[in-house]
Amino acid sequence: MGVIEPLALGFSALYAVLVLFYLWERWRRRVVVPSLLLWETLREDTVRARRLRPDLLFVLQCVLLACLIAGLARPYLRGGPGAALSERHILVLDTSASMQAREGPTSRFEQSRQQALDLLGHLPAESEVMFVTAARQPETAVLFTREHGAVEQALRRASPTDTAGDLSVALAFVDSVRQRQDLPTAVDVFTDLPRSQLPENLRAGVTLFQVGETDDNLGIEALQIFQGRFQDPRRARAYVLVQNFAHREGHGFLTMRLDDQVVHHSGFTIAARESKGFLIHDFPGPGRVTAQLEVTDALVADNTAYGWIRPLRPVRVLLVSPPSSLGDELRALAAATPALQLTVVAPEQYRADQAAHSDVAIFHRLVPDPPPAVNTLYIYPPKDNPLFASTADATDVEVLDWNSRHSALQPLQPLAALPLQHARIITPPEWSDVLLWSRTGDREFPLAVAGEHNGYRVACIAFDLEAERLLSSDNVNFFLFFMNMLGWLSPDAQDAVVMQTGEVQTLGPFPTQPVRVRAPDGQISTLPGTTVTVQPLRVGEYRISSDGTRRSVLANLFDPLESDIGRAGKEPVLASTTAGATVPIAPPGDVGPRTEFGPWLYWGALALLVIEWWLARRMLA
Amino acid sequence: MQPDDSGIEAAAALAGVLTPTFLRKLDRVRLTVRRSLSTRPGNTPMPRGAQGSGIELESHKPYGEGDDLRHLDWNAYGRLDALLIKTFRAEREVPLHVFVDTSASMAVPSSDNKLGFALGLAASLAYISLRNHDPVRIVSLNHAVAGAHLSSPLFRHRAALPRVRDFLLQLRCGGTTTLAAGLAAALRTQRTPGLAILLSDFLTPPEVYEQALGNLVARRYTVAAIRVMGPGEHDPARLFRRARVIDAETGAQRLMTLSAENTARYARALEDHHQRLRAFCTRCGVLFSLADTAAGLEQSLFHDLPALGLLH
Repeated sequence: MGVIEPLALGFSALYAVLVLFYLWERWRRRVVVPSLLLWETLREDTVRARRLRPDLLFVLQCVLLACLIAGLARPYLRGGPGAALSERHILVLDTSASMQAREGPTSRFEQSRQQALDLLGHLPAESEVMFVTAARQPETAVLFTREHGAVEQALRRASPTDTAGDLSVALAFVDSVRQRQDLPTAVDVFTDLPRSQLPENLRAGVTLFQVGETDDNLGIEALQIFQGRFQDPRRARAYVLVQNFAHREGHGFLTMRLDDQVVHHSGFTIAARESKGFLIHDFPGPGRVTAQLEVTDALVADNTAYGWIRPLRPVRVLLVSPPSSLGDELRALAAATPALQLTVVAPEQYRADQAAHSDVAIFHRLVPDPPPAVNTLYIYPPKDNPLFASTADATDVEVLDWNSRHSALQPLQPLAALPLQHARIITPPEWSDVLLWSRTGDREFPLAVAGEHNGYRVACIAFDLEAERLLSSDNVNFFLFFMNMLGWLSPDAQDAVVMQTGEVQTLGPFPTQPVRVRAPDGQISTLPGTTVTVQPLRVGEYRISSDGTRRSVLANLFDPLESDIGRAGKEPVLASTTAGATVPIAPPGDVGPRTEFGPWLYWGALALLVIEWWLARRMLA
Repeated sequence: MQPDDSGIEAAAALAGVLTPTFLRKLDRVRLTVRRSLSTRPGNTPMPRGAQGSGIELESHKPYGEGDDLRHLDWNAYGRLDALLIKTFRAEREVPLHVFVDTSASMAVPSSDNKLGFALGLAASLAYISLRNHDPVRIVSLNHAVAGAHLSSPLFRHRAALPRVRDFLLQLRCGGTTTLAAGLAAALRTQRTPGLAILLSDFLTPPEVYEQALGNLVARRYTVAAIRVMGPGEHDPARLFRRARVIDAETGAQRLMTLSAENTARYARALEDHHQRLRAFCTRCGVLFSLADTAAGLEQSLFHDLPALGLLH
């Protein structure tokens, strides 16, 4: 048991006032009577002037005052009636990136873990404990067990991640677990989030142990590599966005590296709660781009970000087309684009093995059967074709709508109202997405579709590009659309994948199994199968290899909510200024849920007041 | 202790009594006395007893040797041929002794004006007696004075009324009640008993007033006890609900709350006190009257005391 507001006990001085009132009341009005002869048989009041001999009313008043003072002091019972009766406990430990924030000599995670260990140490030996870690999604580290030693070991083994957190998912999970329990189950959450940020419908029954005060953090919020599909990597550009999450000015240095070569180093000053962007260019070549902040802040996980400038690999394109201006235009395009290697074949000379040596096959006014085993673009397919059922033709139509979310159409300018001379009205296959729409008098119809069919990317442009003059200056949008389609059909080699920590990515297939995964901290894991699914929990480069084939996964923490480590209601504390200072952790004896019973004392005081009033009236009646 | 307003009260009470209008009312009443041991002739006829000379013929008796022949009824001798001596109704003076309790208890509560009432009653009785040519002595019973009593000279004649007033005006309340001791001391200087009227609140232990009244009865006084009481004493709830009550004479204190129970107890105690006093007076042949100051002097003089038989 304890009190939250011990200063309220100072109101005990009011007892002196109560006694003074009592004594003053005893020095009551004096009335001289002729004689006390007739008063001897009367019941005299028990209180004497000089000696304090309290009566029942005085005792009631003392108890009433004690109830009020105790209520103001906000007493509590450690563990509370509910928790004391709980036979099961679920410990939820937040392992998101913000928990790595330094608070003096220790970190938030260390503080929370210690609190959890202390709570575990005070639980009855017969109670069952479940331990859950919560980052992007909850993970059950230990199921309900009476072996508190196992839970303790799991607590000590737990470590924070570089991922964003979603405590609501974890709370929903433990709430569903608790609902299924036949015994009362207490949930204890150790996190740096305030209760107000928890889902309202999940706050009930949760005991929150919140840590963390500092807001001192500068982090990289974005690293964007701008590189055209067919562009020379030396012309790539990188944009870095640095955010100051603190409530004071921040200083530091930004260093950009391409692999191990420093390509940029500059200092910066960012005002409180502001951000600053850096545009870096003149990269010497392809490779891994590393952006590194040199700052003194509380959270390190967001001080590093990775990007990838891919090497230029030529795309082998096979054009199967009758003699046409489209072929000539594509030849001119290939001549101007180093990464584009074009082979033009007449339809009657086309063989299936020719497509096998290409990265992309383009069929103009032709749909071979069977379709080639390669990514394929069909331009203005004939009416009777086995792949795109055509119902009619249309002339002089316009592009009225487009699927701006498709990667093939990003980041094109609006394609609206582009006139087209000839178009096939096709029925889009089930495996395809419509990219462009047009409309006749009575219906809409697609102008371009794209999707995956039999394991290959397939696209179809239902209007005749030859008639539109692809390289005409009036049809720049068509040109860009064609190049985007070509880029979509010729994906990059998956040398590196850039993703967010906590996300899931499937890689493969690899040539042989098992597949080795080397984490940024050097830990190596061996995974069976030729296709692996990775979920990076750390910022850094994950190297996946199998029989000489190597892939890299570059994981970044780009989450402003997670990087904004300041907590509302707590005064910001500079991590650097508190270095070496002792950050108070709840003493071992002061852990566990608190159940305040002050309101009961107020009700008791009210009841005493009613009793005292009744007694006083009875005495005077 | 309350400031002594008894002098003011006395003056006010006497001013109300000693007015021509009130005195004319008092002229209509007379003290009723059944016997007197005084040998001095007076104007008060004795209900029993005859004397050799007088004004009013009472009866005859046979002549005996030594009788005064001047009272021989010659008419009776002529008619009855018998020697008969006239006897006359005895008329004696009846000294009035008014004993006024001027202890501190008579001054509280001040709203009751017990002393003023007592002095007014004393002045009225003194006038009635003086008008009848009977002497009057007023004695103040007060432990604060030497001898526990203060006696006035014997007032005779109606013209002595101003002196009566002056004596009464000098009386002040104070000290403890000295009914027994004061009376005893005062009676030592009195040779001739008469009518003794004791004006007091009788707030003493029964043995005190029993001794005082018994002393008077033993000395063959015709005794009347008039209990002076005011509304504040009758119903103390008029004065307070919760207070430290202090005895006006002893200074003893009690912390009191006049709850319903305590109020009932007080009323019972008061009634028991009066019952006992009345019973004693009845046993000893003492006339007892309860005078309410709130009812006024006229109620007492013209209704209560005539009903008692003290006045007519």
